[in-house]
Amino acid sequence: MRETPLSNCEREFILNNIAQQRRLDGRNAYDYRDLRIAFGVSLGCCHVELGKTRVLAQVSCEVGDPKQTRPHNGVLFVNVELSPMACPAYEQGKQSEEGIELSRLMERCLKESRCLDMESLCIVSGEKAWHVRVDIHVLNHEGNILDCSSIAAISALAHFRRPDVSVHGEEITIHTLEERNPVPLSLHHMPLLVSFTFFSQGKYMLVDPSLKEEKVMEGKMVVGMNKHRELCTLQVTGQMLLLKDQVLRCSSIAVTKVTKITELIHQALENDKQARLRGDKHGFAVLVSGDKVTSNRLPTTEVSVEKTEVSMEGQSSEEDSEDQSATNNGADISDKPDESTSKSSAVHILTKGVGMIGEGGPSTWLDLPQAIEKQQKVKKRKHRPAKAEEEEEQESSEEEEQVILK
Amino acid sequence: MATKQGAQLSKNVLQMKFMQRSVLRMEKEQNEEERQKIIDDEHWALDLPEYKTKESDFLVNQSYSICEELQFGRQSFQGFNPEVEKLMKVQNAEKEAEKTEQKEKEESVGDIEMAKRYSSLMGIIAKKFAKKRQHSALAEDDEGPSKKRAFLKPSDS
Amino acid sequence: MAAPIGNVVIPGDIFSFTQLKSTDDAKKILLGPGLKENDLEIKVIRPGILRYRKPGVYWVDCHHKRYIPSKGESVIGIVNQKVGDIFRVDIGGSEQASLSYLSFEGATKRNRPDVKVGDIIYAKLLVANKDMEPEIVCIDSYGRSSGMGVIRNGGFLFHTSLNLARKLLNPQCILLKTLGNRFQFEITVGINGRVWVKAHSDIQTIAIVNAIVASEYKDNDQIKEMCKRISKAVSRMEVD
Repeated sequence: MRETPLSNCEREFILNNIAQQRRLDGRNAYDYRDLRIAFGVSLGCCHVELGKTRVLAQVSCEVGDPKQTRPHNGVLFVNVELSPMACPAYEQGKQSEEGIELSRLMERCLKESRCLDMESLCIVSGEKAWHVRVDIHVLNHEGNILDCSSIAAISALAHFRRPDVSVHGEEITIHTLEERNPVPLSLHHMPLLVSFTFFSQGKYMLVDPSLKEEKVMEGKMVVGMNKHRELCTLQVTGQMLLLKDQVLRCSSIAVTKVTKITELIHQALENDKQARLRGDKHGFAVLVSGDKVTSNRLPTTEVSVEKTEVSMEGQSSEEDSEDQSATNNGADISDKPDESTSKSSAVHILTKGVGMIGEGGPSTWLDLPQAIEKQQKVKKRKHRPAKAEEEEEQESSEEEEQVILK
Repeated sequence: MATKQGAQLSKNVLQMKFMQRSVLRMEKEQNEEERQKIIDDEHWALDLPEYKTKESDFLVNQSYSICEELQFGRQSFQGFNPEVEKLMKVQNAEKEAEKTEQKEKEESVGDIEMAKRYSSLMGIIAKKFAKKRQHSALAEDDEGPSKKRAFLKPSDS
Repeated sequence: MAAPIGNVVIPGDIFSFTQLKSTDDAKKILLGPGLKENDLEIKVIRPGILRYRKPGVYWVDCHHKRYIPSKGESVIGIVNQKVGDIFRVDIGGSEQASLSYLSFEGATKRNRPDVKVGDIIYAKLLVANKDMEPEIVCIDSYGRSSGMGVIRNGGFLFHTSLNLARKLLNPQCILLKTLGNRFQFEITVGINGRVWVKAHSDIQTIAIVNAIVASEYKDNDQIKEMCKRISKAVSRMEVD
């Protein structure tokens, strides 16, 4: 699909604001957007969010032949995937110019900085070596994919563990993850890319450009650096001339940015390690917040409950369902369940599957077939844990829908 | 024959100079007929009962702006762009007018109802006038002078 | 059983005519986006909330980001190309719309409108068909512009979800009115999810843009609260 063109009024407005030292999202010129690093359940899977830009990096490895020219080294392969999911202008399968540039830069950043000890990836010299592959998938393009993917790639490499290998004479054994603990890759340092965009003949400079800023920029300088202030990559694109001072200033800004980001990566790695050790929730599950309200345009439906009878006899066999009913009827009923007088309270159906009775707070229910069976059993004995007559019934033609509240 | 094709003229008349245009026209008509015949013969037609195209109960419109009754897209506030504010006023007035019209339609009496009511009313009025003018004449062919006429109330519905 | 108005419907759900008819006595039922007629049945073809309006209008309110052109809608387009007598305008659909240079107010063969590539245009869709290139015009049926045409003099254009654009134009939404009480500004909303805003200063414009973007999932009370906060923040910034 065609890319949305940039209108003149957008261009003028953005450039005007940059000239007035103002950015649309309220950042200062040298500010990064919010950075979130999360690791997947599998090792070597890293998801990085930079503002709304999202990148997923996955590291994998396999045993193969080493290169003829370097028989003592393993092989590192970097691939950047720009799918239409990131931006409709990208095409599936076809590597665009932008994609090739990104891939090359990432390769240079990771390979030529020699951050990864390639010799340790060799199993048998000249015969067998590990091929490590970094796949970078851009999930959403909102500007500055490059910085985001470099963070994702290096974090994924740091997070990755390869299976242990033992060599006895001619025999090579690759141990499964259960047999022996997998070993981490030996990373010497963490090179990170920081891109600087220039506007109005290099007069103004911004760090971490957004999508629209990237569209109006005149040129870009990418500085690859690690926290030891070692320059790994440098690339300048665009039609502009830079002064020596500007390059030096960029590199000094890059130092502070890289130190900060490296710290963040280490913290994220540590958090993930601790969570794994404790057996807590880890992986992307942390990213998903369950109670997020995405819409408030669905009106609540009022359902009146005619009778709320709770009796003690049912507890012997149907304890769990009784418990469920007791909790959902609010605290006053569970305290004194023998009060079997009919009571009416309002049930608020907030969304499908989430309801609220009285002031008990939201609760969810399940309408599994077995749960309904159980409910009917209870009904036969004339114990009605919770009879909810839904006035607004949907497809099912039953005169009464049974719901169990959890 | 002569009565049936009264318009047919004799050969001699048709050969006259001022009749040439008519001759041409007649020839053209004849050719047209023949051509139509050939077309009809060549075409097959299934001897089926006429296919009923039932009128749909639905109208389909894929536009959100009609469904949601969206406002005019250009708006200006506190006199920022007087031109647009003028337009807003015009558009809003149009919408208001449409709405009131629709409301009126819903509340007012329909054409058929009106006609019905008037027809019954007319009868009464006519009789009223008839009473004054030719009371005697009407009285004879009416149900009878003895019957007292009651006031007919127009039926409300 | 009545149709589940205000509830979520899923593609493949089927309603009968009587089900829809039961709620009102309109002669004809108007099926809006997301519903399709299929042999006296109505099929849902988009996931979302089933909406209803008197008299007899049903549609599915669903979350969109990609615009599907439909006839008669007012959109904001960006001129992408000038090809002979027509302009190619990006309106966010799968295909670019065409706009004749004659469909501007007062345009004749000699008196051509002043339109440049990159300009933004507020226009109405004249032809919108799944098999054809959409066509837009900047005049109504009387030949008047009625607010359509090139939008000039600065301002800022941004893109939103289609829901938000519809929400802004919904008569029940108070966002624009509330903002209008606090700021002096001009806005143009295209149904295709493009919004153009212009205020006296760039700070105000950015504030309004952010207010609009933030209001997508807010109700009217929250919007009022937010507008109050934003106008305070802006007045503080402008003093500085």
